[in-house]
Amino acid sequence: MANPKKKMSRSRRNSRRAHHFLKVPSLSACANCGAVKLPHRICLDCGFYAGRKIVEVEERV
Amino acid sequence: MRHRKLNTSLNRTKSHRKAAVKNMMRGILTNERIVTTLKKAKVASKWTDKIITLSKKNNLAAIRKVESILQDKDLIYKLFHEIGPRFADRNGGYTRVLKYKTRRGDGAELAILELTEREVMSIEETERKKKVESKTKEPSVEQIEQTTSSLAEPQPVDVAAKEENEVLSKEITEETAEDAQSNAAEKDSDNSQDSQEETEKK
Repeated sequence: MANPKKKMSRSRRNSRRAHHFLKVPSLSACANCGAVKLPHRICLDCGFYAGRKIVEVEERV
Repeated sequence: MRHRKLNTSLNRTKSHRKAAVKNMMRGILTNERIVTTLKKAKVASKWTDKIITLSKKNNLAAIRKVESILQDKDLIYKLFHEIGPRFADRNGGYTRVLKYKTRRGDGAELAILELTEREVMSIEETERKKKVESKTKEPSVEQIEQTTSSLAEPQPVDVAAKEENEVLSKEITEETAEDAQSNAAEKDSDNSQDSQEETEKK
C-alpha cells in the first residue's frame, strides 16, 4: 500500500487550507428601497428593477 | 466563431428541447410573462423574438411558417392580430429577461421572461415611455444651447463673462465645458458672439 513517507507539517497543512475560505458575494444596494441585493437582479424586498416595479412582494411575517 | 452565441442543450434531446421551447413560447404569448430558469428564458427569448418578427410581416408565408412552429390556431390569431401590431414601432428586442431569484428546491437561477410591450403596462413603464418620447423631441433645443455655449466659453480673455454664464445657466455641465476647451483651438471666434449668446440666455 502506498503510504506517506513523512508527517505533513502544520505549516504545509495550513498553507494548503489557506484557500479554503468562503467568498463574500458582491452585493449592491437597491436604488429604490436601499436594501442589500445581488447586482443585476430584481430587488427581493421591494420588487423593483431598473426603476420600475416588476413583481409584487408579500409582506414578511 | 461562436462568440456570444447561445448554444445550450438544456440537458435535453433535440425533440425534447424543441417541445420545451415551444411550450415556453406558448406560455409567454398567452400570459405575456413567465418565470423560468435563466438559461431556458434566454433560449425562449431568442425564439419568441423570431416568431414576433414573422408576425409583423403579416403575409401567408409568414403565417404558415409560424403554424409550422406553434400549431395553435387561436394563439397564432392572437400573435398576428394583437402582439404583432403592438411591436410595429420596435425593431427587435421584443422580449426582456430579468434575473429574479434562486429556486428553493435546487438553487436554480430563476428569471422573468416578458414581452417588452405588454397589454397592461405598469405605471412606471408608461411614465418612462412618456419620458423617452419627450426626450426625443427636446434635444434639438438643448443641442443648440450646448453649441452656443461651446462657442462662448473657450475665450480666456473674458473670465468674468464665463463666470456669468455658469451662474446664469446651471444646465451647462462640466462635460460641455471640456468639449468647449477641445473645440477652442479650432475656433477663432470673438467677443461679439459671446455677448450675443449671453443676451440669448438672458
